[in-house]
Amino acid sequence: MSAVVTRAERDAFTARAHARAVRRVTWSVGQVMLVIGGVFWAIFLVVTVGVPLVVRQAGGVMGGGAMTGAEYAAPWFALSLGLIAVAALVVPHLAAGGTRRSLFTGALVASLVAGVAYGVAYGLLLVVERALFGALGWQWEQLGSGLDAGGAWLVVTAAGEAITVVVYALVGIAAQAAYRTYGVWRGTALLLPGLALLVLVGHATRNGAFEDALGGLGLSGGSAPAALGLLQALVVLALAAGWAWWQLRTLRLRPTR
Amino acid sequence: MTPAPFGARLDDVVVRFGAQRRLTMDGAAVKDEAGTALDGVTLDLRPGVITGVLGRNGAGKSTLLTLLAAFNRPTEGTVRVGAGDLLEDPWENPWVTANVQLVRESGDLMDDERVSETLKYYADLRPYWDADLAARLLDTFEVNPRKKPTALSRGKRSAVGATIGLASRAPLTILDEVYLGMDAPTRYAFYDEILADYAEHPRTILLSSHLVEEVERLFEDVVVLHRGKVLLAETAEEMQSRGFSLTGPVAAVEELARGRRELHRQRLGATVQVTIEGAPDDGAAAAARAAGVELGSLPLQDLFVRLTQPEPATEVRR
Repeated sequence: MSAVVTRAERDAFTARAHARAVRRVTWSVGQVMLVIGGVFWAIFLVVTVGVPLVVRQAGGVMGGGAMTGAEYAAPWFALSLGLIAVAALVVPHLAAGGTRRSLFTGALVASLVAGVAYGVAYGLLLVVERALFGALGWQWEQLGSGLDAGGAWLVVTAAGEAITVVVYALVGIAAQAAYRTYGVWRGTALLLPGLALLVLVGHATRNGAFEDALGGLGLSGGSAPAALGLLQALVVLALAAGWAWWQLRTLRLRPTR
Repeated sequence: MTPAPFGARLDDVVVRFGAQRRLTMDGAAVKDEAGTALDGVTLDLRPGVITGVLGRNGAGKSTLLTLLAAFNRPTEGTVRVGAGDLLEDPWENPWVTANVQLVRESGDLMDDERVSETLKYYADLRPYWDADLAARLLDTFEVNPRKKPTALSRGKRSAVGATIGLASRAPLTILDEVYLGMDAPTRYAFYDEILADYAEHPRTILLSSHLVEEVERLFEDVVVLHRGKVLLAETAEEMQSRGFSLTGPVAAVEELARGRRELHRQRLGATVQVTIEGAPDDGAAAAARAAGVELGSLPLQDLFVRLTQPEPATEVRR
């Protein structure tokens, strides 16, 4: 049976359709980021615990832990997953009646959840690594945090990593949308604003490869308060979300041959 | 309860694409040429009927259909889709997009996931999804839902697209060359399923196909596009009245066809079938019967070919 609907029914239908689409995107993108991210962190757990034990067995001493590698790798991993997840989802999502807005909202929520999960995993593994180094009688130094190993250190470091991961994932999503809408050349040119966001979030949280490069040029975040750095990072996150939405909102699916 | 069938109205719609290089999912670089896909299209699509959207390659059919599903938006002009008085711009409008199902020849599937995963995605988003119908159609088309689309033949992939199109039960269902790669029995099973489901769940169906002879029996309305413009948009009945066919002995058919514009001619030995433009003259039926000539209806394909071929190829036989 079918019927012409009223304006109120139409509005209720629209709200339900949007909510349904957001939930589905959140589930699909979140699943990719958490399941594959889980494998990533499991590997780092093995490396974090295994490598010092192997080095100890060989009679050596480690100067820095393996978690420095995770700090560098996790955001790029998130960027790749953001790019891949949206690449796989964008066409079926629009074909299934979803909008670009629901795709963006769902991907943003999934990125935030993944960011928190990655941040917590990173913080926990840092604690594990610090404890292991202590048990082995080695001096452990967390590189790049700019803080000593006091009470706020763990929260600041994990939060910084979480925000960085979200920014990278959003930049990956924006890059995918730009390539789809504008093709190879303009899509590549549009990587530059995204790259600027990656530099800015590294600068704000004082970690990552870009911050190392800036430090080499004497432009490091230096001794600014960590809380201020986190606030700056949150501003960059908002900019990254705006950048991803800007790219997704104009996404057109050109007829294929 | 599903909404009433959706209709659509396009006013002076222009769609231009710029040249673009893009990478496909398998890493190949493809160049899309710049051009005007639609050039001033004004068109009403009636709700609650099956409309055939015909045109040669590059005529703008797919571009037109993607506008209705908000895959694209017009460079100029307006597109409105909806039911009754609620005709709205489909772009970023969940009211429209959730009620319009476009299935393209690619199927728009998740290539890295099993077919069942793609169907789950559609089921979660589509408000009127019929899971039982989807399962039955996959069975009819002999598609294994545990396979990934990349492991399916072209025809099976199309069958998945056909399944999505029908099981979505969208008030506006658009099937854009969904038959590609299907063998004849599968295609005919698909056409039968369209008619059966349409009868049970009335909605608007737009069907784009190059296999005009196969699908013309389904059409209630017909739109013919050519080089980005609407050549013709009318009911199938009106279209039928645009011409007729004469089949019989060569001499008798020649006599009856004299002075008329000929759309198509097919000869087999001493028998010839000629398709003629326009309505038969008064008494033509009786004259044809007396001469042993059969007077038939206009094959849509002949009219389509006549309308879209270059002018010099047509002639008036005297």
